[in-house]
Amino acid sequence: MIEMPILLLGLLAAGVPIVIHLLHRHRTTPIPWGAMMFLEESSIQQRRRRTIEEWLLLLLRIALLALLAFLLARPILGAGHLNPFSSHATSDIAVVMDHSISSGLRGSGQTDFQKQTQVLRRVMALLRPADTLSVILAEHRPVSLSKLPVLASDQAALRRQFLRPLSHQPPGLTGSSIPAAISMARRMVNRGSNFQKVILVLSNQRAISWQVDHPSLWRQFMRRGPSGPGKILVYDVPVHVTPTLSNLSVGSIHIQPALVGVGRPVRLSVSISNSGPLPLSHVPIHFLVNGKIVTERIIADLAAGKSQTIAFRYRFNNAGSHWVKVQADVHDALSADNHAIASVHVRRHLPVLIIDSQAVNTGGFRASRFLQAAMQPFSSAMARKALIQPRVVSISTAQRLQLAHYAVVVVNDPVAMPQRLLANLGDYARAGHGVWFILGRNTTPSLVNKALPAAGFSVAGLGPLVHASTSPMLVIKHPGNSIVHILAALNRNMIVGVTLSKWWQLTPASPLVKVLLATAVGDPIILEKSMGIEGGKVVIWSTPVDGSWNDWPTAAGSFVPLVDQCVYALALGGNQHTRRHFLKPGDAIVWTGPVKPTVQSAKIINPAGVAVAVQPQITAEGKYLMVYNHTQLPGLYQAVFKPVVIPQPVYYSVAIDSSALDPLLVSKADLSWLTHQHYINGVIKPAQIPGVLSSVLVGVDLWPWLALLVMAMLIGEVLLCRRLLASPLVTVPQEVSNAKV
Amino acid sequence: MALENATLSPAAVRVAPSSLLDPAALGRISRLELVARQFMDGYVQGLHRSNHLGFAIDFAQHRQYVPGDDIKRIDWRVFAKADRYYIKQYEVNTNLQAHIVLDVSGSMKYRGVNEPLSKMRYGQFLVTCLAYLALRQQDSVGLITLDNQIRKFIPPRSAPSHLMNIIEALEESESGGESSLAPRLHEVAERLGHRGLVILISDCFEKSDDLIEALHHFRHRRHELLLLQVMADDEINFPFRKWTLFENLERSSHQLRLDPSLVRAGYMARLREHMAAIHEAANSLRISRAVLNTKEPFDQALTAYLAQRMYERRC
Repeated sequence: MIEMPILLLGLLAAGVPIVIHLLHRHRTTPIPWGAMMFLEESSIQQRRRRTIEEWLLLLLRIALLALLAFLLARPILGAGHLNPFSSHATSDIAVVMDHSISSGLRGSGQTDFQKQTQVLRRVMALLRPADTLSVILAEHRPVSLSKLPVLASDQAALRRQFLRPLSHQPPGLTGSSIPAAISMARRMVNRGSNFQKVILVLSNQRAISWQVDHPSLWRQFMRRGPSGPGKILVYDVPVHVTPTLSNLSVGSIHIQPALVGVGRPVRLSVSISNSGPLPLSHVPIHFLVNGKIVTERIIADLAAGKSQTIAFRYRFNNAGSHWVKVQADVHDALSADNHAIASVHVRRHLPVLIIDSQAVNTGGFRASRFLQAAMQPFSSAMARKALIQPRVVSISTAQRLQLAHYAVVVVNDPVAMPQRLLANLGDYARAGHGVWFILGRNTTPSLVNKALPAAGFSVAGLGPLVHASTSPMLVIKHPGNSIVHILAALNRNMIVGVTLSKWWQLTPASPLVKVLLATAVGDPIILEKSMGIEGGKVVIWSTPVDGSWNDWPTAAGSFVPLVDQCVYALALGGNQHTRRHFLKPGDAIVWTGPVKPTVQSAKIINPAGVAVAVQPQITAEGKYLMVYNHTQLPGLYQAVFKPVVIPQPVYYSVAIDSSALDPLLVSKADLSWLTHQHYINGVIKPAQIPGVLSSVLVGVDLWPWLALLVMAMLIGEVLLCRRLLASPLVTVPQEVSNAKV
Repeated sequence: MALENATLSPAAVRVAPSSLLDPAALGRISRLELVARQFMDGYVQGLHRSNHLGFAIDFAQHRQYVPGDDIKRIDWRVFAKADRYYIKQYEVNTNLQAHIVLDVSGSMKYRGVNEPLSKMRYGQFLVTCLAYLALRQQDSVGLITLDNQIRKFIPPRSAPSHLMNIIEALEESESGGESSLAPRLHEVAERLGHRGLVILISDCFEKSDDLIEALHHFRHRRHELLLLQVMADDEINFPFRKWTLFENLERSSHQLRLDPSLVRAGYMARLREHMAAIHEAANSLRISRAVLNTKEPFDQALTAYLAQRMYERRC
């Protein structure tokens, strides 16, 4: 075997002495000579001997150069029966252990990961003193339990570095990447000095972990790893327990309404499923708020493969950040999915600015009366406790107000508005807020068709006013949308019975504009469009709320929830709330806050209790922005600030990556592909590991012997040259040179 | 530093005389004498001790003293007048019959990498100087050139104009033939008449046994023999390093492609053995021998050699 075959091209250098020899042969100098009698008789014998010596020297030089080239190519006498010097090699061994959430699956009294640990112990028992061992945990990002490979002769280090941490290692909670872990294992074994490198991948063969659907990922990781001197043997060792237990999974907690106010009822629902082979019965489900058990439900029976939704009702009495947890008290195959956590941001008030079509404040804002009543359907005594706090102002007043102090701005029956106010509204919406336009009798086409698009509200074109002789039926176009969702709940249209006599005919300006509610003939009644990248929204109603063109405010039941849901949806700023407090693994935690008071320090405490300092930055909009990206670990994250006057802690919940529990296993075709691509060398059973490790024979690296041979040949060449060069240097005899008689 | 087969750099090349009759060189040796160490048969009085008695001793000229001259021959009167040493020369000494034998075989064509003269040209200059010296002493001198056969045979004459005959013969002589030195020397030894001085100028690239036998022949004929062994520095030290094609100068079809570093030791051993054999033979046959490196200027080498001879004669 040749390590660097390209250097065998150096064998061509062996021809150099021959070329030099031939060149010298042709470069003879002719000399007319008289004393031929001494030449002819002198040295036929000597010449023959010298010729032999010269040929010997030539051969020596050829062999020397050839050997040198051969030496540089690092020849290795392959192991085998024909090589008496081959021996069992010492190896650098890396064991990759799948520490994904699925490795916590329990069966036959132990988890996959515990079984992997047992296999690791057996591997450690097989190690020879000169072997080295590395252990890599395959998680969302591979983790090596030691910085360097540990020498097998150091048993104390093996226990300290590997066995002790693994015995306390909790089950994994994240997904895992086997190719990334193999890449790290390659780097680790290459740090060892042994010739042979072996990587054993202990895995439960989940396809999601092996990532065979991403060939580019494998190519990237395999290319990234440094290439060592010897071939790295990678073996897949399937290690998994037989599922004998039921597995109860608590799904994500669903919160209704999405915008939670103080003292307002909240419905928290969660799906409980049984993915195991056995049915479950009498499972207590606890509901915890901020760590305290609030209530409990019992699931009497849950058959295998079935799921059940459990709902809790709760009222949060304090504003701010809270967290809720649903915990199933059950001993099943996997404990990591027996609970779900969600953070809840509770608001005390939701300030809403209603800009009425009145130019000045004189007058009763009649057009907005129904709207204001829908937002606060309480007595005046209760108004201060209401979640939505509307303020109706005229256009002139609105120009002087800071729009950012309001969660939603409603422009009711807009007439000609100052361009500056419209521009402010555009900026306000793009900053992540909601703007609601309600068209009415005073609306002019120029406002909708020109002024609003100029301010960035390119939602719809305004057509003629439609007069309906008979009230059309209204159709909910997007029942899943949060604005109309409640009207379409339980598969019934709560808009039925509403009489519409007039409305502005609107034409959506682009496919991005959603028509949420429309007449049966297709005239849009409610349109929605996202604004900017911060989650801002704009909603346009084509009919007013003052009862003049419809009986919407006075019709039963539907007006108030429609207004409230519209305000909530706009106040949430699209998915902004969800994005910030209810995360998937890997999503960034984003916190924003006012620049006053100054944040002295901030830290994120992750579910493992580790605090990480994070420094908020002041953005161009004059707000603090703090981003934290390391959210692979599911659970509850807390943001804590100094000074304490900043509302804290702020909770963020990261759900379990349910895809990591995908039960699909790698197929034979997948393993065949991995073998064909030389990413792995084969699949072996744990019982075959001793055979794999002991059957590794190593050849003999020939370069030290070749180097000795080259040295000997060099010495021989020098001696032969010296002999050849020394013989002509005979001192001219005195008698000949100075003969005088 | 290792020697390389360097090309000849202009700076390293000493300018060789264009003509064999080089006045400067001849001037430098003119104060020397070519003397024989054994008795010569001569018909004219000269410097050389003769085995013929009864010749008058007449003063001929003064010559400036050079180291090696017998101080008995210094004219002290002249010294008293001129404060210089002068030697008296007499005309009544017997004269010398010198035969200069020049090897013109192909191997003599070799010229060292950093040397201005080939061995052949070096030998020609030696012949010229020696002939000049002999004639100047009123000795008779002749020239024999040979490779695988005797190319020129100029009998000895003592007339000063004979020098031009010798030079002309030298200029006409060409090296390039295959060497067959020993047989030709035997032939020369047979052809020479009464005993005299034989000066052999050659690289002696011949089997040492054959060569020594030929030298024996000369000695047997009672000639005094001077052996001037001319060799290039490359032939002595063999400094080559790179692969070299050695082309035989005597046989054009013969060449050897060799790594010099491989054969040098054997070459040097062979050369050493060859030179040792000649040296030993020269000693036993009382042959005056000198190895002249073409790296060294011929006049200096010849001056040193002749001075040495004069010193030995005096002793």
